[in-house]
Amino acid sequence: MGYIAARVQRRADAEDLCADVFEKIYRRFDAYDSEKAALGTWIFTIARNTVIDYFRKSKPSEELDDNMADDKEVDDRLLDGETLDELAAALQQLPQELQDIVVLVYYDGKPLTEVARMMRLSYGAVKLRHQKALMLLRGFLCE
Amino acid sequence: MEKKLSVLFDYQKYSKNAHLQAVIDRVHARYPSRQLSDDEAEFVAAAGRPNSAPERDPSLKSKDDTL
Repeated sequence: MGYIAARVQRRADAEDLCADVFEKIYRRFDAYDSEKAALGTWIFTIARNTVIDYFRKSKPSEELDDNMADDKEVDDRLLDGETLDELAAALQQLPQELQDIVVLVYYDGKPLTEVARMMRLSYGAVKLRHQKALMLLRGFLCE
Repeated sequence: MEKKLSVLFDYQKYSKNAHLQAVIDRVHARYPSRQLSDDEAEFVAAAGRPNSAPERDPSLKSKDDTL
């Protein structure tokens, strides 16, 4: 519920989606394969896809994040606590400004124009720093 | 890389890894402005405080009164 509420602004819609997710888990549980993914990862994937469908069908006027729009297939190997620990460690190696940009863009979903306003930098400066952050993270996360 | 970050941060909202959340919270502490959700916005009056306009002094006539 917390994940869905963080993605969907209206509480009533979030509650409906949560019920949908529970129903899907109940209906599809026989198909769950523990060798393919951890249970939490499987549930997260159902929830994420349900949110993506909600934005596509019910609220076409609300923008879905560009990085969510085309990607219902999630690499389950990414989704574990160790990867999040690695991401935390990699972020802490970045200069503070670059950490801020990454969190504001990818966690908070802010566009670069909004991030520039919040950080009191020009759009061009934020765009360059964003690219630098991605380059450094590629190195730290060995992508 | 961008898709990977988006998926990982999305997953963070679900799993709440403590180490990563600490990094996120420190960033948020540097930017305290916050966007209201629709439910929170329902409690904000669009026009501001009611009866906030200054009271008219009845002894002062405006040119409109003569119309």
